Amino acid sequence: MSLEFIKPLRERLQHRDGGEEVELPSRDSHVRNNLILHLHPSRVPAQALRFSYTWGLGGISVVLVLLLGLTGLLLMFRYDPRVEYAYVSIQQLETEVMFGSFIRAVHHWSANFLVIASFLHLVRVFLTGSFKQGRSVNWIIGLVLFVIVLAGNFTGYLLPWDQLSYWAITVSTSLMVYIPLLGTAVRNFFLGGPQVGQAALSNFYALHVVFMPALLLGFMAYHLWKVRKNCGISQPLLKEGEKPKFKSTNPYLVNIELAAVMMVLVVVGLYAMFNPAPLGSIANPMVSPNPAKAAWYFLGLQELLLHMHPLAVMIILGLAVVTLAITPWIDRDFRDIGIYFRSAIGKRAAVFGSLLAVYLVPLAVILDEFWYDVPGWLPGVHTNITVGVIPFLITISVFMGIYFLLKSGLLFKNEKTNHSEALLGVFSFMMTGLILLTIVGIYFRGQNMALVLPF
Amino acid sequence: MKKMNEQNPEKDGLSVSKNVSRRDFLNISLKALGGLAAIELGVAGILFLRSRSLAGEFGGVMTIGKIEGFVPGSVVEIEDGNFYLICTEDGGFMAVYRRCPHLGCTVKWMENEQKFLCPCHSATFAKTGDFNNKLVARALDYFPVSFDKGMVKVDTTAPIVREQHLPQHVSYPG
Repeated sequence: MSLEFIKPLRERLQHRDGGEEVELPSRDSHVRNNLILHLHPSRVPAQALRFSYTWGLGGISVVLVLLLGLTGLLLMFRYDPRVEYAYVSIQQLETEVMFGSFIRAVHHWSANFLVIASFLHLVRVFLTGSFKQGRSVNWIIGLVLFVIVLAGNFTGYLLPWDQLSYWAITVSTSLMVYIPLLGTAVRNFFLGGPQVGQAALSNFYALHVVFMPALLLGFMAYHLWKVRKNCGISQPLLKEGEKPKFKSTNPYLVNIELAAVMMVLVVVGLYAMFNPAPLGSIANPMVSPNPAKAAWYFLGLQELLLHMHPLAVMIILGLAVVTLAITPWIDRDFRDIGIYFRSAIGKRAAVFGSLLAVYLVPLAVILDEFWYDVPGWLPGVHTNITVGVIPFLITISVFMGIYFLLKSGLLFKNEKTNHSEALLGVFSFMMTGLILLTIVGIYFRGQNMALVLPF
Repeated sequence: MKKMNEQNPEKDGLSVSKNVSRRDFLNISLKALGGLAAIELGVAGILFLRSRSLAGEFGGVMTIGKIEGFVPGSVVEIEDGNFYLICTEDGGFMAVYRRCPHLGCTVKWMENEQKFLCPCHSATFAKTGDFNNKLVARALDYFPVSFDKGMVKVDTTAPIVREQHLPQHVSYPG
């Protein structure tokens, strides 16, 4: 390699044959390129650069994590994790500290956007089948990262010590009690006692500022490294005799990434300027607010809790997570990798799953509120059966039913969905259902958690 | 490796036993001790992190007031004790823990409707603490009530879990 770039500018100007002066790359640009090439290969497939393929969701998530680290560090200088002072220190941050409200708002909204961005990233990866062809480990790491993001959000939720945080954490940790045998011990371990108090605040503070970020950074680094090891992001298989087209990373990929960074900063910054992070009144263990809701991203689960026994909800959630985790082994057909919805028929299966959820989920919610009353119909039967086993079996059979209906080919004339496409239909149903339950939980639940119209 | 040992037991540091070489012995001991150390660290960690406020979370035995001070049929909230003191129509006393057994919210006494309501998932409980909602499968927990020199005393050390309300959960003075 030539060492031209370290020479002074005068000497770096070379004369081309025609007498025109041309500048060799400077030392700066060399260092810059070197840094970029630690993350990226020097050339990337042109296919992989399509923005409408990735929507930049992984990169956006990384930017949000960095933003969270920076604002979180600033907040740590001002926050006091003692129950007597926690709320006061947030109040001071909101009213007295220069830019305090803004920094807190950026932290708050980045965390919320991160939940959305990483969820969409997960959906995108599933829809394009990007967990296939040797990417199974990274798919699981991605799921772990999503759980860490939720856990980071959850542990941060208690810190303001207002009514919102106190009761959201009380409700969520009470859920742990329903874990068979170990429940109470696990809850007491996390809370440092039977109720949310100073011990719980200390625990959550330590978990939020050190444990979760460290875990997140570690897994994130592995996630990114693994993408490199898998020869970049997924893309459709090449046809026989087709040669891949490559473009240089700098500037083609780097420019897209810079644009994404700018966009995230502008959106988060503007949003935070106009929407300060919420702060309720100071935590009061005597009075539960009505309604007492969990953080918005858990409201889909809280909505399920209104209809089923907590243990049934937990088993359904556990089954869903395990099924997602083993998806790369259930669906091993990699011929459709990198293609949204696998195929045209796969797209119809996905639309079918989503529409079915749009139809079934609100209907089920309304029926359960006003008509459905299994405990009343089966007097004398234990509630573990009427609100536990029965709704659980119904839910599972709906999932199985969708799969076998799609697989049977009864739905679309002359065309049978294959295994992979049928799974896609079930996935679409599940995700659309989860989103709908979350929307019901956020907007349609009022006093006493009764169904209300938000307008 | 093994073959070499058999050929020349003395020269490659074989110990007295023919089955375990010195290297194997050290390897096994290292693994065993390492495992032990890991278990010790794990246990120490759990003991270190274990709940620090289990003792004294509740207030021990509390004296609430004179027996005559409570009107039969009334429900009084005792904030410091985390419970409601119920005085039944026939003069009995019961102290129910105000924490909803569903997800831990604080239940509210609705005087007009004569029932407890949990604002989190709208679970309701009868005046006796018995559940009358499909979501919660057990009654409100209670604390034992005792009487001493005309005063009502409640032992708030630990709430007692019960499936449903039974007459023996109510204490009568005298």
